[in-house]
Amino acid sequence: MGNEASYPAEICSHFDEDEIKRLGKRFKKLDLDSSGAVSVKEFTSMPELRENPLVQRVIDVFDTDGDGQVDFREFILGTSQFSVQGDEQQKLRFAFSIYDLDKDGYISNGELFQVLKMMVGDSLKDWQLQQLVDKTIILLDKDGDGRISFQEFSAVVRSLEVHKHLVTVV
Amino acid sequence: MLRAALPLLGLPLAGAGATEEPTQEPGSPGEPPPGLALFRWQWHEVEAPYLVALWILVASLAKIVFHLSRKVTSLVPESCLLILLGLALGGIVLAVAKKAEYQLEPGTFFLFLLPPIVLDSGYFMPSRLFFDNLGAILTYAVVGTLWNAFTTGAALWGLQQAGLVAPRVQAGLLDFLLFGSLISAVDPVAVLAVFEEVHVNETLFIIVFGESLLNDAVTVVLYKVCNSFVEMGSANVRATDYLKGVASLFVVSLGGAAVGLVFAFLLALTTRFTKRVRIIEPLLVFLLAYAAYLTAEMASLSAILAVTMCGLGCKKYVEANISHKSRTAVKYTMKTLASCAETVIFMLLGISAVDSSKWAWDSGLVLGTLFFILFFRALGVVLQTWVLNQFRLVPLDKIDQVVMSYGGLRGAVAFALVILLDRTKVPAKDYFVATTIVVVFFTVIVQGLTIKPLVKWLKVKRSEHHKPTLNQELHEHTFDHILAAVEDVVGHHGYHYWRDRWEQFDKKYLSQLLMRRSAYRIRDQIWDVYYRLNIRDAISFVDQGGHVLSSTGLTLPSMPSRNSVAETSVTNLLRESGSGACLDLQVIDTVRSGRDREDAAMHHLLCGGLYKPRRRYKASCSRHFISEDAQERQDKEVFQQNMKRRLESFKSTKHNICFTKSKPRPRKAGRKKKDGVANTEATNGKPPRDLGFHDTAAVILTVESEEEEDSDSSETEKEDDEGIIFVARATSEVLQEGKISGSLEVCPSPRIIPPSPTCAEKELPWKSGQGDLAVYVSSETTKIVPVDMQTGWNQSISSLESLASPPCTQAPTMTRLPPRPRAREEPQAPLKLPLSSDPHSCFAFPPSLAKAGRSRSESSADIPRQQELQPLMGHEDHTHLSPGTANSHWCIHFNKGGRL
Repeated sequence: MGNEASYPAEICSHFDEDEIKRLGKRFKKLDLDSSGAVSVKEFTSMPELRENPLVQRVIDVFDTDGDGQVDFREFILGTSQFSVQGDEQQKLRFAFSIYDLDKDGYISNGELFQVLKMMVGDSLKDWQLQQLVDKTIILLDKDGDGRISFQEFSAVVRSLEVHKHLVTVV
Repeated sequence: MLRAALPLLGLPLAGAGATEEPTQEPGSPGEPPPGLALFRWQWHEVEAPYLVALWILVASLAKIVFHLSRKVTSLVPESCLLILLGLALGGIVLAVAKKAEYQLEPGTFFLFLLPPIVLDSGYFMPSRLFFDNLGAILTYAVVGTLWNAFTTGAALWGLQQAGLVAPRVQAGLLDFLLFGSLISAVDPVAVLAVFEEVHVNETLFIIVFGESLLNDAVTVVLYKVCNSFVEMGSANVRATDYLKGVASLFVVSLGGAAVGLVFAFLLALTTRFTKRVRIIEPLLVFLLAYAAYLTAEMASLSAILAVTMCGLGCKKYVEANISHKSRTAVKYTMKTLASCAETVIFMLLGISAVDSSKWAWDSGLVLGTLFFILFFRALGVVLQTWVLNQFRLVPLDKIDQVVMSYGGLRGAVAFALVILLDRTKVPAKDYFVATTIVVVFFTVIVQGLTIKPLVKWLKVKRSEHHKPTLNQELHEHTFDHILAAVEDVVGHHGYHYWRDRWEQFDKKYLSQLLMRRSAYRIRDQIWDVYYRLNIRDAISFVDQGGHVLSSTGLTLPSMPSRNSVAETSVTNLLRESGSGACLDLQVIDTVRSGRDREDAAMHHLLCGGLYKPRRRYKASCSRHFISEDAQERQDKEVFQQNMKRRLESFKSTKHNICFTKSKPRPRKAGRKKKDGVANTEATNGKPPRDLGFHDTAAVILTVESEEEEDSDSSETEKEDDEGIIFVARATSEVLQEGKISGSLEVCPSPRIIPPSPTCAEKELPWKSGQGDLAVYVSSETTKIVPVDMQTGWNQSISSLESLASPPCTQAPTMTRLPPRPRAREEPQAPLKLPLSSDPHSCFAFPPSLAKAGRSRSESSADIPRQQELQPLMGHEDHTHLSPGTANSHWCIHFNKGGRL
């Protein structure tokens, strides 16, 4: 973790000093080996993080450079998307990337299935889930290529206005 | 507060009707005892309930009259009209009887009229929204009410000190505080009545409405405390009493909530075991909720809070446990009772205001109160919102605050409370009554009238009415999880964290305890929405009357090259023909050109499929079980016929080749096939018929005992979502690419011989069939607004059985089926007519299956290749099996084909 005075402006745009300090503390706690970056292993070593089905995905999305670790900059930037001031496009993009496992810019049927599977656990049977996924894809897929692009995704989700709730206090 | 009310308990209208009595009673009591009277007039024995019924009838008729004119009701809220009607009626009664009758008795109000309304609002409260805004709601309910009560009371006292209130109003500070406490509470009935018509956005609504429900506890406590202080006399009040007052706030509110939750728990637990006595399920809901109300009332806790919490808490489990019909019954009864109570309340309010003996006017007090409640409400809202906005993620803006301030309507609760005051202890009671009446009338009528234009003028965000969509549900779920995950990562234990925790707890323990196992198993919100969508689609599909079917059936197969994009073309087709006016003959007339053939097929479909009464149903009359009505039977009949026809059409197309006749195949072939499929379908000895599709590899239709279908339709506990069971499974062999008709030991060459068009089909005799067309559309289905068909008609048929399943009960085989099965059905169903004139009428592959097939090939390996498809009937129905009762059971297995 770098010197707190030298944060790039982009980090500070959504947070004030206090919040960054708090996040820094949290980051230090997560960063067990003090390497300056939190690996997936470190994340999952926290007992409370093991229960939430989507922590893995969230970490994966935080990790923008794809090195399997979340450094402090990524951590701050990731969480900043959830601040009240965060812009809608960003929130939508984040939600989209949660589904987009292979980061190819499309949500495929299988990806949606997997993400939903993480969430519902075993409360739904696979065939039920597959039906859900199929129907969702059909509903969202406007151009008929069988997968969901970000445009298709944001068009529908934006109209539902659920992304507005994608706000939390960090 | 209502202890005092108990002695006053009595029907509001009892003792009334004295005016009519003498005229209506012919037999005078002085006569010697007659021998045997042919005719006796016993008004007295029926008087009280008769009058109650009569008043409700009057109120309901008035409601009907109001709604005759859309213009009036769109401008004037119903509550205003009812109050005005009450005023008029009260005037009439006063003029006739020379004394005021039929007033709003506090006892009646609190024990009979209020509970249904509160239960209705609690039960149907959008719980998610409520808890999302719980902080704001609690703040406004507790702090806001306290603020209003004290400021209003104190300001009125100041007004009196300043000499603006006439000295004949004998009231001290405590009296004014008492008055302030009863006048300060926003009234749930009034708020609901007005806001339901205004349609402001959900957040705003839930805040105002939630506040009005929850502030009851505060009002009760304040009223009680002030009342006892007044009765004790201000000199005798000690410091400990104030402390007790504060403590009682917690006791009353938390106690009320606890009572409600306990009863909610009991209710949920009880409904878990009502499988065999479905008919009392709705009753249980009402009984236990009412018991919660009365218990809280008895312990002088907040009864409104108790019922609200009871409704809020039990809903999830009760809805999962009780049957579909019971759910509808609960919903309608609740709404009926609530609306009835509301109507009566407003009308009686109007009537009560006429009684001038009860009130005394003082302009200073009235005007002062009016001004103060408005002013302090607005001030309180602004102050609280400012504080709240420091914490709220989505702040409430200025416009919201205006609506919230203006929406602080007072109503019958305040009136009932002021009537309860003891005149000997509160000498200014009459003035307070008058002021309360004015305040209530002002807020309900003036504010109620103006709030709609105000909302429009301020451009308050309205709520869009949309049904829950699959996407919304799905993404909300995901977002919740994302937020919880982010909070976890960040280590901030916020709202989402705790909600997540609660949901886990609920899933692990509560749901397991309170839900039927069958209900629990399929219990998932997303699935629920999906299921509901399916049913809706199916209904609209039936509504479309097969038009869509014929169009897709006739066009698609002629374009085999489009198979890969089958679902998109279907979607487009549906988009074009999704108007749903297929049964409108004018449409057929005008758009005749391209559709002639289609129409011919349609006509024949209708002609052939018309329900012809073949047998008489034995009239069954049971007190404990509702037998389906004729309409329902007819639907089933039609569906059954369709199914039969479909099967026959399979026979005619396929079995011509495969077998010389549609004789039952050797059983062992069927067994063999089944082994290939899975071991789930245990047919009972009956020779199954295997039928293949052109496109879809193999479809096994195991039709059992068609001949026995006049089964016991009055079978106990039968629900209409039972009957046909479709099992769709993908066999491993048919999954192989390019291999059509996988299980081919039976049907080696699944080609379809196109039936040659008959001459009858070449004409288009639809004109003659006009009258018949309507038969297909049940009155119910016509009411359904056509959903946009592109979204998911492909699942529509899959839930068709839930609408129209044949009158047969569960087959004994089902006991042997694993509990998780089954059923996906072929969308193309009814179009497959034996008469179908189209040479290309091979069975089009349903888009959903196409999608599934395609998706399977796309998706990654961990997606299970073997899918069973959706269970269309509620699982709970399957679990209860009475072996031996069932006769005709259609078990249709579809072997889902490979890719297209």
